Amino acid sequence: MISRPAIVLLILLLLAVGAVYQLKYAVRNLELERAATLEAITETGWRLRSLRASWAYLTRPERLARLAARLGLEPASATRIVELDRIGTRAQLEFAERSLPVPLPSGREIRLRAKPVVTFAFDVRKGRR
Amino acid sequence: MSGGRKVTVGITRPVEDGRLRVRFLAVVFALAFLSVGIRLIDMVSGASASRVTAARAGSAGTTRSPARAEIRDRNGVLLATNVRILSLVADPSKLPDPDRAAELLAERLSGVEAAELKRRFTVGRRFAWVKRELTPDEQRAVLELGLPGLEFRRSERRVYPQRRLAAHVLGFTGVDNQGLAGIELALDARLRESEEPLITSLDIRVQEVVRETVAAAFRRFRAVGACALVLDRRSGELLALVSLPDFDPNVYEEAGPEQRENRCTGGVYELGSLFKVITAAMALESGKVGLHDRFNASEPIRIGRNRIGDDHAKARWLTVPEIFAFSSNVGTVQMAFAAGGAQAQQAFLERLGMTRPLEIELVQRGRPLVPRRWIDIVSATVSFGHGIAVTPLHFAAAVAGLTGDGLRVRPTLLRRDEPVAQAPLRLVSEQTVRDLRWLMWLVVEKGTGTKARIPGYLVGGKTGTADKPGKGGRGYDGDAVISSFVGVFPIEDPRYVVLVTLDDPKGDKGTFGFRYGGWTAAPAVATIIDRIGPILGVPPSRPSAERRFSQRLKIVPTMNGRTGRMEEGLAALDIGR
Repeated sequence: MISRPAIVLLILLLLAVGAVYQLKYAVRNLELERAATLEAITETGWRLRSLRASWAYLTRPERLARLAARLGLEPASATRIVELDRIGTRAQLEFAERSLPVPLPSGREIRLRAKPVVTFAFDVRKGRR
Repeated sequence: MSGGRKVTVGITRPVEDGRLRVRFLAVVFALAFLSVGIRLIDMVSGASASRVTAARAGSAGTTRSPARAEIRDRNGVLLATNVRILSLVADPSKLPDPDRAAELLAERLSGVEAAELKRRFTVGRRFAWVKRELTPDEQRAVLELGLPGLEFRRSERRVYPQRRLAAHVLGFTGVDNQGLAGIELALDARLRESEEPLITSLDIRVQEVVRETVAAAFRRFRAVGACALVLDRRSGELLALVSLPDFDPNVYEEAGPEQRENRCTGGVYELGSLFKVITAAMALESGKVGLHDRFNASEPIRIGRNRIGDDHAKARWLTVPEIFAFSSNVGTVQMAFAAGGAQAQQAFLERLGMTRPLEIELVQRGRPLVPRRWIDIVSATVSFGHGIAVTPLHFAAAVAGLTGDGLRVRPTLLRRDEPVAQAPLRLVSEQTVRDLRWLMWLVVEKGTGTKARIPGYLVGGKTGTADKPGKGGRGYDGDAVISSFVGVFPIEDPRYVVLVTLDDPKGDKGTFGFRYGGWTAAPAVATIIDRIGPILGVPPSRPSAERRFSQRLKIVPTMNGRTGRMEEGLAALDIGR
């Protein structure tokens, strides 16, 4: 008959075979999974690329200009830009808005307005002026 | 066998031994069959099977990283990329009803005729093209049909979403994704080897403004060609480069050589009076000519058998600012000779890099045509831009240097995040730069370039109208001209150089038939500056800058020598030498 240690060895051998078999297929499955994930990444990369291309195509300046024109928008020009220190303060504006009585030598009185110190100013309530 | 050693002598032993072996073998076989069985179950079970299929599909070679890197503009806007395209093929023998399938497909795919498909499907072959390059929507539509016998095929294709907008900068690629023109060709290796996007110096918004404006001038004046560019003089970056007529790089096969030619970097032209910027800079830098000097421009000058006259003749003595502002050939020739003539010119042009092909990331790089013998008449004509031909980009780079820091500017089509490592080459002194800026301001304020004036920015510039060489290569056409305008803004502290060149424009009613650079190209430059200034965030010029420029100007009454009519003359004040 087969001796006891041999049986133990045989069982161990079978277990080992089983384990290796399991491991091998686990690895294989992981590899497949990895390949599938990489595939999905590349696939998504390609989809992203074509979406970006579509985006660039749809937002090309020429088309945006056409669409903007339909909304009544027009290109900005240099006259639309002003530096901050050339915008008047509220106090300057209010002073310029007030008319002052000035007596003339003839005795008549006229009302004069002070010229604003700035070229133009932005009024929060009334918009550009 | 392992049991062999323990066997003692006896008759029954061999029989028992045999049984044991049979039993052992039976176990081994049972295990073997079991493992095969497990594997079979494993293989038919769903999860694993689908993974196998997915992996198979992945290894088929159609899905991989793109073959070329993307190209983007300086702000990251996509200019060129590779997309995967799908084509649809059919196996007519597997189609349940080929005629019906043909009709269904024709309804869903653009550019596909049902009749043509029916013909292809009924020939009795096992393969037929349905359509190459399906859009994603079309693909979805075909999938929704769910017809058997149809199959998608994958391949890769370079696309240019901006279409013709930057065609000459980008170039195009062939069917195997190899660069064939433009940056695609010049930087082919870089685009193939690295996946990192290539960032160009272009600003697509500026490019669009420039293209739209120049295309309008191109059509209006029925020009045969045009070049326009915007150069950041601080970094040498080209924000826009447009050559007309242009083409759509997505369908480059349809473009002829005229359309593919890059007139900004590939073509060399005699730029005419634009060159007076260079002559003036040379003359002022030599120290032998000052802003207060006068030259006799009362009649044409003769050199040997040749006679040189003025287009906008004033027929009197002119100051240097007048010579420049009214673009007098006669005066400019004398300035060039006063500054040292041929020798000085050669040295100065060499310094400006005008005698060598340009260094730029393109393959179309024109080689300047410079005179072989610098005799007096050659020297005279070169001073006002004839007898020497350079690319428009050569000239723009020279102007950028002369009106900027006085240092050589090296143009590039790639975004420069750091300044060039090369030690800058000094072209002219800062004083000359200041004088030149003033002279160019004067051209726009009072001279031939007043149509380049716009509210908001102080613009400096120079007009040019050059005779076009005759077809045979000798002499001049006599009828055709090349009209140009170079603008620099804001001239008090220049940031950008804008150059527009129109090849053979024809005047119309609006220009009273004139086709001078000041009438055709200058308004285009004005429009470009007016629109790109706000885009690029250039603050408007301050009134103090304008006062500073005006203060140097003194208008004096002058008698026009030919007609005896009084007119304004210009003299420079506060020259500050």
